[in-house]
Amino acid sequence: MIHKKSTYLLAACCLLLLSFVLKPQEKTIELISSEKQFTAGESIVLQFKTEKKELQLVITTAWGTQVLKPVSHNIENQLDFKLINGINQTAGVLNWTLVEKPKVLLKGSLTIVADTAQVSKIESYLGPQRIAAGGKDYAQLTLLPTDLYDNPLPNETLINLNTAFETDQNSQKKNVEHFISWENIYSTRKSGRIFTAANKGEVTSKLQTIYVDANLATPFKIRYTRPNNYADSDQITTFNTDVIKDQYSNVIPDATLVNFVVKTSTGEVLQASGNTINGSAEIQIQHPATPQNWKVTAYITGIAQSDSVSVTYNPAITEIPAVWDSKKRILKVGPLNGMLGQKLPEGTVVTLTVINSSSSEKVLSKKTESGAVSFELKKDFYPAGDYSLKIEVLGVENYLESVKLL
Amino acid sequence: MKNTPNRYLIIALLIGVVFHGFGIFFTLEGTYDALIHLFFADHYATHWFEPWNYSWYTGFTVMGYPPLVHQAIAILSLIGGLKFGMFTVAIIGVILFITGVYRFALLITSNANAAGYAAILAVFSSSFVETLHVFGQLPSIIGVSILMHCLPEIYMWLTTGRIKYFFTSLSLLAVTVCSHHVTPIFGMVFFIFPLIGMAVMDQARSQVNTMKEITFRIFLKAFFKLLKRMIAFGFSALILIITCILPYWVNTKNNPITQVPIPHGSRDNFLEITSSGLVFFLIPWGILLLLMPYFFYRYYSKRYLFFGLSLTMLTILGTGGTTPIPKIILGDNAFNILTLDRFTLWGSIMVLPLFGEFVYRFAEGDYKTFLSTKLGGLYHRILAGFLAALFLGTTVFTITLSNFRPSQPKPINMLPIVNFLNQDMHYKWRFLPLGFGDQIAWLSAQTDAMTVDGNYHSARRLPELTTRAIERLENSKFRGVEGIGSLQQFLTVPEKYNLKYVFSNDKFYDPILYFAGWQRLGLLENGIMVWEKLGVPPLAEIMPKDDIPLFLILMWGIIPLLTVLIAFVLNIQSIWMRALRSKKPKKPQYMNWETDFSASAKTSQKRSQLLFTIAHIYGFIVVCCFALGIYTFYLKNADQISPKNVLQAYFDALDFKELERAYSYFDPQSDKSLDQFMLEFAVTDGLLNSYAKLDAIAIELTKETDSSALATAKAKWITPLELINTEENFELVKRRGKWYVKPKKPELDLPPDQLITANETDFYNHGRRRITSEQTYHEDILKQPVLEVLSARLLKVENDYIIVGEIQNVDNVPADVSVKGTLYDTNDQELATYNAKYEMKHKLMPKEITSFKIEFEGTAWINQDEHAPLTFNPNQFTPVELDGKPVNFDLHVSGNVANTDLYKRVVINSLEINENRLTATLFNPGTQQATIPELLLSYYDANHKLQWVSHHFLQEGVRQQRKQSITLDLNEKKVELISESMQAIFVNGLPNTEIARKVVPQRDRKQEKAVQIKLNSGNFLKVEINSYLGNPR
Repeated sequence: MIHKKSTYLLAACCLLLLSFVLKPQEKTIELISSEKQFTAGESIVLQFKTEKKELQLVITTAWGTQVLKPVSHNIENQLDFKLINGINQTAGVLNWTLVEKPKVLLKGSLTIVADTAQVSKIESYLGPQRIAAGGKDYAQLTLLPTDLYDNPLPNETLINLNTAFETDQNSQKKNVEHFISWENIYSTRKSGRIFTAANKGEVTSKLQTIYVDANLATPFKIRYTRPNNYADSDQITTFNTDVIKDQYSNVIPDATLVNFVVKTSTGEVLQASGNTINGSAEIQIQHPATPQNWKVTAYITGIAQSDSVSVTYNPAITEIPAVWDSKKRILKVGPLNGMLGQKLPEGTVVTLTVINSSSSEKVLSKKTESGAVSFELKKDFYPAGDYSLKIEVLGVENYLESVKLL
Repeated sequence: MKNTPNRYLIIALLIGVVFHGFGIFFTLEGTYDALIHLFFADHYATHWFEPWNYSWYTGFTVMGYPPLVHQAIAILSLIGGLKFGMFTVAIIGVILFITGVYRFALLITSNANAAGYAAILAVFSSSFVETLHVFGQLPSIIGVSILMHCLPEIYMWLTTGRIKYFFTSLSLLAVTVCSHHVTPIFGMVFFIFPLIGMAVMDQARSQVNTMKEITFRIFLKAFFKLLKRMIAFGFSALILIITCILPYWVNTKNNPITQVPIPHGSRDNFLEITSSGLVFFLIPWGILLLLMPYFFYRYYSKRYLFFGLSLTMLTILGTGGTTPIPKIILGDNAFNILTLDRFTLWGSIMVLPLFGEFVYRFAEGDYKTFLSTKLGGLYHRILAGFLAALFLGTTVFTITLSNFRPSQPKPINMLPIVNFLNQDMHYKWRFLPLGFGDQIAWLSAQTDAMTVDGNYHSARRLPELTTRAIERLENSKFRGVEGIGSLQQFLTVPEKYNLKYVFSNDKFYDPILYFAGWQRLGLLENGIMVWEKLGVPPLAEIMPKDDIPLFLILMWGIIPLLTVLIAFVLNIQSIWMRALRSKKPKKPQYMNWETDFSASAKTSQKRSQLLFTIAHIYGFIVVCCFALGIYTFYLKNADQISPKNVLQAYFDALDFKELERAYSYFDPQSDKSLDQFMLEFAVTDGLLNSYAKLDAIAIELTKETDSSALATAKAKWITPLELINTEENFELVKRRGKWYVKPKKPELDLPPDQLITANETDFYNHGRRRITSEQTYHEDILKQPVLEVLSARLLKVENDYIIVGEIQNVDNVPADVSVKGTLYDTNDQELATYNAKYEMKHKLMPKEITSFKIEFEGTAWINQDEHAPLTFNPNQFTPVELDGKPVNFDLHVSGNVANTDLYKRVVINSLEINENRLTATLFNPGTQQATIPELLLSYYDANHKLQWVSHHFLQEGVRQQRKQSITLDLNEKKVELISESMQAIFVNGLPNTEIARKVVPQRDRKQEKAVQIKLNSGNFLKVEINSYLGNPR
């Protein structure tokens, strides 16, 4: 029995061995074309030696994956795959896989390089567009030269970079590194525009403009002009700054806001703001309604301030004629005349304070018409008795003591 | 009965088509609803099987309204455009209505002549004219017309039991369902139930000899005899109502109407709000009111008993909020959702057959005989003339109603807007039309661009809209502060809705836009002002929508038109069959019950006499009531009859800018000329003069004699920004029995210079320098201006959290600034986010500083149990509900180059603080008029740390070289500091710390204090000015 068993075992082993021997010999598939590197745009044909007809070539590039069928021709035992339609135009590594579904038969890769002979475009990017003068601030210019097929060019490609500021022109060579070339362009001390452009042979980039604005303002001076010096609440005083400049003597940009702060002798804080034009800001403020002394300072807040200027406004009138008609209970104020003997402007405010015997006050105010104004103290509100009247016009006062109301 | 068509019906159809066909070209587009239906039709015309529409409300489903009419317009639009479709459907509606009334009248009166009269009267029926020419409710008209066509078929089914009528009636009912959902449901109750009652009554009548013999037992017997047919019809009808518009019901269940009810005039008390009474009661009933006794007398006769009950119900429900009964019957919920005018419409339609009958009897029947014999032919003719004049007068008045009281702004030429939206990819953002009325639907029908607003309020989805009783944002000014509040939320955080463009047809909204940080782009050719918000991201390419099962979509697209097709085949086929069979057609069942009303009829003289007396007494009472109403109206409105009236009229005239009328109230003995007054008015401008609507006015007479009076007028004005209360004293005089207002003296202030010169820097941004539809070139995109946040603090004020701070534009170009703040709790969970609104200057010149305050506003009344307050609070503000305690915050400041609204010339010319009261005079030395100056007050503590920012609008503008003073109370708040960490602050996405370090490295912080004024409390105050120019030159 044991004998028999070992015979079976032997037979089985033989069969196993035979099976290896009997396996059909597979025909080898080879890549015939030997070239590994192509220039973008060049026609690429991958040729394989094989008897099979139903094979496919899977192409993988940075742009994606495609499956190609062989092109037909009459050569025996050979399959050609033609890489067209942009596959041959995209620079980079191209991986290919020869497939007989679902088996992978052969793999390989090839490289496509940019066509440096046909540089067609230099893309350029710049930022920020506006920088501050003085040489510390800078803008970065990034250049991206590409070939006909929009492939970036390899390292060490040389580009000419030209920059110009007013009449100064500079030229330098820049290498491409990791597909791009870049340069930090530092601001000039003077404000203006820096123009930059790059070229490689005939091919040029767009002209890029860097606006060099003046740097931060430095302390400045202010002055004022006014038609007269009266506190008439009518005329307008104009305050100006001189031309405000930065530390490099550039005039600060237009429309910079300058805030004028007025501290009055009565403790008020007034404000007016003006925008610079050619470095000078101007504001207008109406004369006060009472004689005052102003201390004016202008600020470009947080950055620069001016010296302080003191302005004095004198009384606009000297006397306030007033007539009290005790029968009609009418107080006539006026004619109120200014310094030239003219009537005060229409609408000047006249304030009347009525103080009764127990010194409680009532304030009435009216505006002048033709330099005069009249107040009627009606019986309903002002019972008969002794009053004193205080008239105030443009900060000038006139007292009428112990007026009798009947 | 001859088989010739009724000549009255033909006359009615001819007149009807000419009259209404002519009329709709002038009225339909100005109606409330027609353009909405047009918009829906446009949707179906372009996307028949797409239930989702992105145009309105950030997307909504069109399954919220039965589609038949819209789809019909859509189909017709393929022939001649949308408006052709709409007019055609309207004319079809007119024809259906007239024939429907004829058939319904024939059914009720069993008298071809009476029915013919009814058809003619239907043409001019004021309720129909109003529904079509004022409201534009096409689906409602089509629905009720088809329902009337359906009624005879139902009657025939019930009485004959022939299966043919079962199908014809159901087919017509299906069309009704598909055109208007409310009509069949209430039609069931108010039309079909009484009809069934009448059918049963007729059945019972056929068992006995006279109407009088019908007892309850006989009636019950007849009822049970017809019960099977009733049940068959009832159930089938129910199934039809459910299945025909199943998607509608599914949608209603999924998106229940949870929104706050929108006030509707039909729910008003008509005696209090007379305009609603006119539109929703007097006009639809019209002359029918005079004949009410006849209708009730007839409908309460035994045969029509159930119609009598139904009519009573309809009449009562139609009175709206005048009596509490409708609210009790319908319940609170239904009362607030339904518009009650439809009950009046149905009521007025229900009496049309009897109206026809009456007119027939009056014109050529027994009443004519009665009147002629009794009072002579002249009286009959005078009465006829009176009634006819009244009837036609009401109709003419109704059709021209929109001319007397325009409900819509003037028609807007949409083409420039459509072109604007198509240009330069403006459709990639949402837009918002303001002051367009119902024409926003027409705009939406013409463009693919989307708006956050919309015109079908049941479909609103954003809580900002549904929680408030506003119909549309577009007309928010008519909804008072509630409407403005809702609008503000959209304008303050537009980036949340990708809202970039606002088309303003009403300058009322301009200030709110400016102060919320928007800027003018310019006028379009049609006079519409375009506003733009900078820095809003465009819409995503793919937008979310609700998923709707395919079978519902198919049902929605197929069933409605199919029902029309089936109804057409079934009904027309039966007419053809009848005609072809050449056999004399059998009289329909209902024609058996004709009552003889002809001139020779032997109607009871006694009864006629009684009716005649009642009618006259009733008529007299109605006319008296009317006259009394007119008289009280006159007393209330006669302008110069009392000092109060004249002052009220004066304010009214000023409110509507009717200056000549306002002038006519001035004392003729005063020396003010009309020219002078016009001039004085023309030179005043400002929030109160140019942007206010009078909300309420109370006039108090402080002193009155026979010929003179002193009055104080306390007025409340709604402005886009806030509610303003004014108090003004007037002197009034009586001359020759009329009261007059004594005019006031004009402003005497005289500016010093005649000609003003000023130098200004102007800016202009090309946008795209190249004319290309491609992406904007890299170098054409302007750099965003660099801003620096100088300080920012998270504070707790009372129970609210705010962020205050200061921002400086440290760049060299003007910036448009928006500030977004977000609150975080200890776990860095986001709690709330909002933008700075009024408390900042949104436009900053280079190196300009603004304070800002962000308040975290929530959506008002978002909880079901919270209700809008009954009285409007001017500073309505709903603090957001926070889920946790904020401990931290971040700020995102974004700046874009601004080139408009940069007027900064207004000066603080005097400023006085007296015990917490600030009096300031603003002076404007420049060349532009500052229409609405705003004061920003920043409160600092003793260490110059910002505590609070408040804003104050001046009521009057500051003209060139003139002054304006303001007095206000200071309001120092007690605050609790939560955080003043400057770490999480970003400007245009870059960290603020980096900017602070780089741009102005040696910042002199002392200079900021120069403008701060020391207060008595030791704290400090800063005043800033931000001026809105109404008409920049």
